[in-house]
Amino acid sequence: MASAGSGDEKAAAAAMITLISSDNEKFEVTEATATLSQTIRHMIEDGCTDGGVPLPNVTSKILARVIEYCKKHATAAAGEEGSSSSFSDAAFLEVDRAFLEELEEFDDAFLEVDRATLFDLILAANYLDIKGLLNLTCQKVADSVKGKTPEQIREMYNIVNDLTPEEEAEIRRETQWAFE
Amino acid sequence: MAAAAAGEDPLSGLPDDLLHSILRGLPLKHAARTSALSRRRCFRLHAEHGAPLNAFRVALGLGDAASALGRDVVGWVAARGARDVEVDLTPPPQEEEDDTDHGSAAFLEIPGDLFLAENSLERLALGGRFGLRAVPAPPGAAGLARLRSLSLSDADVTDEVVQAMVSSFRALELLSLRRCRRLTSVRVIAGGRLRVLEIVGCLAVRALQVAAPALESFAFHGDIVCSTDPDEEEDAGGVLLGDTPALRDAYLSHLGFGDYDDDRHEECIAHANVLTLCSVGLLGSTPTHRNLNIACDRVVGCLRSLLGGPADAGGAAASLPAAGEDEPDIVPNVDIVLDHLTLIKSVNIRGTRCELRLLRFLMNRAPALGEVVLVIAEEEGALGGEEMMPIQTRVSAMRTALPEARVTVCRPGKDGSRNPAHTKLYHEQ
Repeated sequence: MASAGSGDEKAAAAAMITLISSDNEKFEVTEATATLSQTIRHMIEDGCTDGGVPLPNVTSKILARVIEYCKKHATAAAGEEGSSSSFSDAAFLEVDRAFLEELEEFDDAFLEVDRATLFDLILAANYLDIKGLLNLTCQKVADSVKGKTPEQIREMYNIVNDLTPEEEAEIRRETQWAFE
Repeated sequence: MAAAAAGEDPLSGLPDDLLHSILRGLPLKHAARTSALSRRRCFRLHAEHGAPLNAFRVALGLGDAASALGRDVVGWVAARGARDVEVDLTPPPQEEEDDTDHGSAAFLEIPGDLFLAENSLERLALGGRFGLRAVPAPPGAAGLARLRSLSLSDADVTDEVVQAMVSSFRALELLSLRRCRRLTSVRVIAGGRLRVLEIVGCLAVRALQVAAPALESFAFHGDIVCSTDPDEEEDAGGVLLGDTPALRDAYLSHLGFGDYDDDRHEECIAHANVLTLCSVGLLGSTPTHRNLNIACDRVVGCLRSLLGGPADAGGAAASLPAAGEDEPDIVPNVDIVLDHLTLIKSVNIRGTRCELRLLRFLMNRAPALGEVVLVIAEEEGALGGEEMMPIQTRVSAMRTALPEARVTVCRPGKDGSRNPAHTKLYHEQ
């Protein structure tokens, strides 16, 4: 997308941002992709992205996934803007729907990761302030505990039960309605 | 940002705000279950250790999940010290049509705990299909002893429950019942706190008895129609207001016309400074109803005579007897004086003869009247501003006894006058 047209090349090149992971790997992304992160958007606005943006909290493995997500969703955003002028409303809606479906499929596939990666993605999305990614990953965790008993959730996430039996009984009593 | 290795507890390792982000994605019930997971305070949701949850408002709409959640919310929030809880399950109007006769199964019962265990609720507003059958008989409902404001819309609530609630909730200052269709004969025997009472659109209500010495604002919008069954006529009541010396604002409205002859001696209206009449029924769109009924019986008696008998078909105006303009509108038994009445506001006025007579009747009996506001009906086919002019002239001409009274004609929403309960009741919906 950066090299869409030869005339744009200069502008596109100027809009590239370098992201540096905690293990010092460099990622070149377009500004459109990078600014899905509010954190980076603010850095760009403040003009402190020269020489790359160090992200000491994000490993290259996770950053690669995050960029993958941002690229896809930045394309979605750009696609919406671009097509609104060149399509009739009906055609635009059609394109829009197809694109949203594609995006949903992408998101589903994107979430097919192991649990450690999922939690790292949550932390990265939080740090980089990427709302869509944060919602997506948090919802994935929420779905995993939905309908489970406390025992099942503890087992699933290795949560140590540090409540005394009395305390637990008390909480159970208070939240009786939630267990009905 | 260490990766959560296998065997670690990745959930508990998250900062609080992220844990909240996750719990937000759960139905409340499931989120609440996590409070039994561990001592980690975040699992206990914020209310347990965090700042007290003061206000909780949620509109959930229709659907089984939403409904179950709605009920949970009430119990959960109330148990955690919330003071102000508002839950709205009101379905969209069009979906309600084929389901107007829903049985009690369709209602969500509020858990009885709410009424028993002490809580801090001061304001509770429930919209939609909530059931309140679990309200214990007085003095059982100690849980809501601090409740100051209770609003129920479309709720499954019976006459007995209303009575029980009013006498149990000692702190109650405002009671609003809207579209509670099971109500038939409401008794509100309140202590000295109740200041505002609204009973709106509870169409089955035939009798309303109020004893609330501190009442300041009273709104009744109903459809009190006399039963044709002579045996029932004894009980078919209308509105009986006890002594309400503090009443400032009376809003009386009717969807149709009543027809009963009770000759009660009502003093309630005589105290009101502001009397609002909404004459929906005068439009003649309900031909089965025959006579104007204002909630105050004494006025009803007068108005029946005023309107001059049955008007069974067609528009009310067309089918009224073609009496002359100057026919005396004094009717027997009219010694009522509305001596505190300073503002008459007539809403949805169409300029029909009966409306004008009603106005004349009221104006002649309100020596303190300072202002008459006529708000034109909004819908299509209503009178334009020009057509209202003659009406204004005529109304102005009526005030023989009141040279000081100012007459204003305006469109809905354009009247800058004091708005009694009326605006509050109808502009929200």
